[in-house]
Amino acid sequence: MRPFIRILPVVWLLALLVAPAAAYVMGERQPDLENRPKAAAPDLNRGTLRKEETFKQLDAAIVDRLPLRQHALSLRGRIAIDVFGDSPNRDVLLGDDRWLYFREALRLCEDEGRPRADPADAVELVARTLTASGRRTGVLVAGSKLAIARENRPDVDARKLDCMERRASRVHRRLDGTPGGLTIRDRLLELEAAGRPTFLRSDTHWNATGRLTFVRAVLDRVRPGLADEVDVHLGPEEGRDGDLGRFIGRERIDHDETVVITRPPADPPPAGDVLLVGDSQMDRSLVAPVTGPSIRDRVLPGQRFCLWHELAAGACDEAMRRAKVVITEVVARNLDGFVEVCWRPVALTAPTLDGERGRWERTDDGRRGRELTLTDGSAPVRVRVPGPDVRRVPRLLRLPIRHLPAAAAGQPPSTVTLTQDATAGPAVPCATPSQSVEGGALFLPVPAGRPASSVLATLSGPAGTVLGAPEEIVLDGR
Amino acid sequence: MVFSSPTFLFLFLPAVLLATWAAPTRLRRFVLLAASIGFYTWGVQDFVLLIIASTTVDWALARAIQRARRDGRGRLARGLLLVGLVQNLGLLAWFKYAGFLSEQVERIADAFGMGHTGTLEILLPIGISFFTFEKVSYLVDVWRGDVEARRDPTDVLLFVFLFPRSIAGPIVRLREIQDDLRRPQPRVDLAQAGAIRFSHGLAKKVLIADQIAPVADAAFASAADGSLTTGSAWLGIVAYSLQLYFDFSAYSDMAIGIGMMLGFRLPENFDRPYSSKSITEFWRRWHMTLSRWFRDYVYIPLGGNRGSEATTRRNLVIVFALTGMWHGAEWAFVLWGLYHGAWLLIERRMGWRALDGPVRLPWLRRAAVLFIVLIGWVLFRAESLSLAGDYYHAMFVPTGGDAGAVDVALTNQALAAMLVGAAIAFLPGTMSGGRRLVETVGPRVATARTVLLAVVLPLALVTAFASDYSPFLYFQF
Repeated sequence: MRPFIRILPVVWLLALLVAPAAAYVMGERQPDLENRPKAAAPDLNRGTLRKEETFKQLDAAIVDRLPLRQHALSLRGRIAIDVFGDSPNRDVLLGDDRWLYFREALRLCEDEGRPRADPADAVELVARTLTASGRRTGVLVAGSKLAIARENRPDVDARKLDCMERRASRVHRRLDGTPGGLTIRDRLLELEAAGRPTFLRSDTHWNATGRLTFVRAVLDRVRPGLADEVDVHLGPEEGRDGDLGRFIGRERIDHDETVVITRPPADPPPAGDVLLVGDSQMDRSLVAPVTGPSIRDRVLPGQRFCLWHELAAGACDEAMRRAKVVITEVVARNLDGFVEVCWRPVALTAPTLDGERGRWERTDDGRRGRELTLTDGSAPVRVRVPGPDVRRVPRLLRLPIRHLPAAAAGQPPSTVTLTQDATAGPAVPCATPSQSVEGGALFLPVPAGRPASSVLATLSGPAGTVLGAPEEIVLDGR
Repeated sequence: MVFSSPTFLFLFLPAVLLATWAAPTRLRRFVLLAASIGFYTWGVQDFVLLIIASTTVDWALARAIQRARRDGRGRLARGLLLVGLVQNLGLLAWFKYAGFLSEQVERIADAFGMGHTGTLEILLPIGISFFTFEKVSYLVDVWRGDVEARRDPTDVLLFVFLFPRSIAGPIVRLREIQDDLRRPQPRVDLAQAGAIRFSHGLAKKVLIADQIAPVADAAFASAADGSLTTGSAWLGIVAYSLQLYFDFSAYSDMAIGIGMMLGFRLPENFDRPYSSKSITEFWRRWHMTLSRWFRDYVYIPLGGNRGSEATTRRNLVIVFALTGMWHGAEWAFVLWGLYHGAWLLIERRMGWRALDGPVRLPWLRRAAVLFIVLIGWVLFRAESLSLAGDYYHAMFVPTGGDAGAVDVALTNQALAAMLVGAAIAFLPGTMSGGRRLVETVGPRVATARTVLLAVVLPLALVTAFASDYSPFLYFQF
């Protein structure tokens, strides 16, 4: 065999293996893929090199920077779709007529049965608390594409789909009957049934019809008649790069109309009166500029928009306290995360609410009293409310901190923490996890229909911490 | 770093190949040692220091054992060997079995109302089961006089860390690669065969094993939530048997291929096990280096089949219980090992071992062996005995209904991969595909090589580059 033929396999293998690195040397760079920025390179030092995460991050950073990956993704996408008729990415489902769906929406149903906080309770608690605090409120859950855009929906696990729809309709029914609840689900389903799609074909977000429905609902909740006043309507068409297209390695441009207004309001709400808190649907519908200033900038100038993670980090506390109108939007697939952060709007707006005083009961020795002193740093407790143990509406139990011993100099501030008893049934959502202010309070919600006495928690803090009489705030809409 | 990850394929491997080939002969092993320690550190971080220390102790012990033997001090040599065994098997026991043991103590204490004893949670260093056996074999071989103790600790370190096989085998003995360790000498013929072998393994891993995996995962997940139907259960276990074979044998193919490109000849690990005509034969074709290790370092020292029939039976039971334990610290693995051991005993008793010469009804024999192996894989894959019980229930008590998750996972690609995989794995043959590709000649094999390199290899690399991180199954062992 000739020498060249003999070494051909190894030369060919090596050529393929070095191709990405060679492309990098020649100046080729990988664009951002998968709808996210590239993973940052980790700090490499003696400390970080001992951690597994460092190498995982390094791996991710390398993969994100190797050129030609987009071509590999594209080729793999073509083979999977055109040859096999399969989705090349398990997170993306192929629907009929080239529609794409995001599987993540089904994830909420994968752990069904575990006792955890109910998202329906969480949205109701937030809506009722904000309303009770005197704010105009709109709490909305943006249903997933799988639940709304059903016509081109792919075959997926029927049980999970059924579970997802049951959960979605439960949340929406709850919001429908709650002061401060805002739901456009029925309207979107009506539009879909009438043959007017409300989602983009290659994207997880609403199309112009869906966005218009949302924008009208939000503006009218901010001030009744505002949507008509500014004449919000569909505008010229533009191309949108579908976020799901990238997942399957194919660029997919959806042609979609825009949502525009004819005129700004004559009397816009004063700056700071409205707070918008939301996910990507609200961002795309109201905040993102579309061929000029966004709807928010034209109709609600000077009003703050916060993403949920910003709210969770405390970046929007002042805006929340100040706002007279609060509109929140959470994407259905993020409801699990919402349950973790919903304590913040509750804790920020509930301090002005009044309630009747109840009593503490320690669950370890049965002692009861108006006050609770953390003599040895923690106490397992329940609250004995002054009224009925079970009510048809949710309640908040305010746990006021009368005395909080100061921390030693140089130490972090003293804190009282609240931990729910995992053995006492499902967790209650939106409970304040900790409080560091003497005179402040923790809020422990009791969902509708649940006995207050069944909500067990352990309070921990510096020895000598004194909590005043717990108060029962009934969120009955009055 | 797994062999099918982009970082390994497009950075680490080409860099190491080029550096090794370019390095002067006397420095080549240092290049390989540095690369191998870097590779292992990527997976285990701090543990690498412990393994280096333990290997250095092995090096010193082996030297001392050899000296003691030559001086006629047999008892000292035996004592030193014992120290070596304790330090190696002790590490393995601590990292792999201490947690399991503490769970059993906790259960027993709980059952007798003695309160909580607490359980240990210890991180398992990748590949510890593989290189512990290699280190033990080195010490025993030196003690037996089968191999010279290495003077240079670099040889022993490179033997333990050599990256193509450090974390998932094949389980190599030092004497098999001792010349290559001293002077790694890449050769053109070996490198081209290695490139073909590596390509073959990569294709098996990413184009077959990884495509089938979701079907098996969905079946076992359905068993866990009680929604598994009988049809899906059988489909799932066939999928798992293919996934496991193609995943593990692919890793061995890639390890052997990389070894060849670097100038090492690593032993074969698989030889078409699913076409075996008996369970005895299956164990001579499946994970061959592990079976060989247990034969040479446990079964034969226990007496093998040289004693009475009862002694032979005892020895087989011990070996297969240990084989099960080696795969994982779970009762399900022990049971799986004993299940295979029991079949070996039955075959011995009934004369069904079918090792020499033709047998009657070979297709029926193969089907029966496959059935037995499939049943065993349920224990192997289930995370607990209760899950295995649920899976068996779904397999053998007819259950209809919506197959749900398994249906969703059975994409057209998965189905195609299963059909191709089944055609390759279940049909009879006398030599594994990887070996056939590099060892045989003829127009058919030449065409297969060309297709592999021109079409399948680029496709496999594209798939690996585009796919998510996909760990090899055997790393957990």
